[in-house]
Amino acid sequence: MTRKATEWIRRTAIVMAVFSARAAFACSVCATGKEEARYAYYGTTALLSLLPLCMIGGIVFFIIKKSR
Amino acid sequence: MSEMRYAEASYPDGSSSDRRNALSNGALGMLIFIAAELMFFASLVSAYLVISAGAIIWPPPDQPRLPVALTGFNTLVLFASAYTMFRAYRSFGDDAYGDGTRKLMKVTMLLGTTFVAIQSFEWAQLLSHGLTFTSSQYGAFFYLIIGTHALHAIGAIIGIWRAYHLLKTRALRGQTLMATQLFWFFVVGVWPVLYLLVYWA
Repeated sequence: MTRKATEWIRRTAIVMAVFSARAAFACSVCATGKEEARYAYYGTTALLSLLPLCMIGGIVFFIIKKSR
Repeated sequence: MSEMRYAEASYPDGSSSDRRNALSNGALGMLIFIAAELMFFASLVSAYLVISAGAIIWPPPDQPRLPVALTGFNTLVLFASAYTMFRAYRSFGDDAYGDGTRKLMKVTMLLGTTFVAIQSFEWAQLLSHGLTFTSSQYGAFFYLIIGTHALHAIGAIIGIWRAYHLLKTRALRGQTLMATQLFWFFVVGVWPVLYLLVYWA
């Protein structure tokens, strides 16, 4: 396969990947069809992602405040 | 060098450090432990939210209702215990081995035990009405989340009891009491979230 053909295939694959993408529901929660379930999923994802950061930030803030 | 204690250590130029710990090791260790515990509760709450939001009817109509009013009263008991714990710590700072600290710690233990006792009574009632660990997802989540909290409350009461005995033998250190207090505050602080989420669903 020539280098030009390889490049053409690569670009086509990228374009297809970009324009053919659809929402993928990989878990049973997303596929229940209820809006509440989807909001709960987003909310809990945000909670579990932000809580550790808030806690670490809180402890660091507390130590800095105490040391002043 | 091995004989040198940290307090006596000095910098190479001969000057000594005047830096103090912003937080005792005990309190910092407890804060890190609480952070891990908080993530544990957050994961339980997340699972509960996702399952309850995906259910057609929540709570299931064939399951008994939870005693909201009695648990509301129990919540007030728990809040009162947090206040007495706070006062006990303050009292320890003012007069370490005075009667005030001892009495306040006793009251805290009594209120904490009352909270666990009322919960046990509730559980016995719910079990007799058919809400069991295997009766539904609702029952499973209820006993898992509320039971985990109860276990933490029992652990914290044992911690306060140990601190109380150290106080009686005049061996209690401030950082031990602070770590105990932090854990009790965690137990009290996480409860309203669980109460609103599970009982008011």
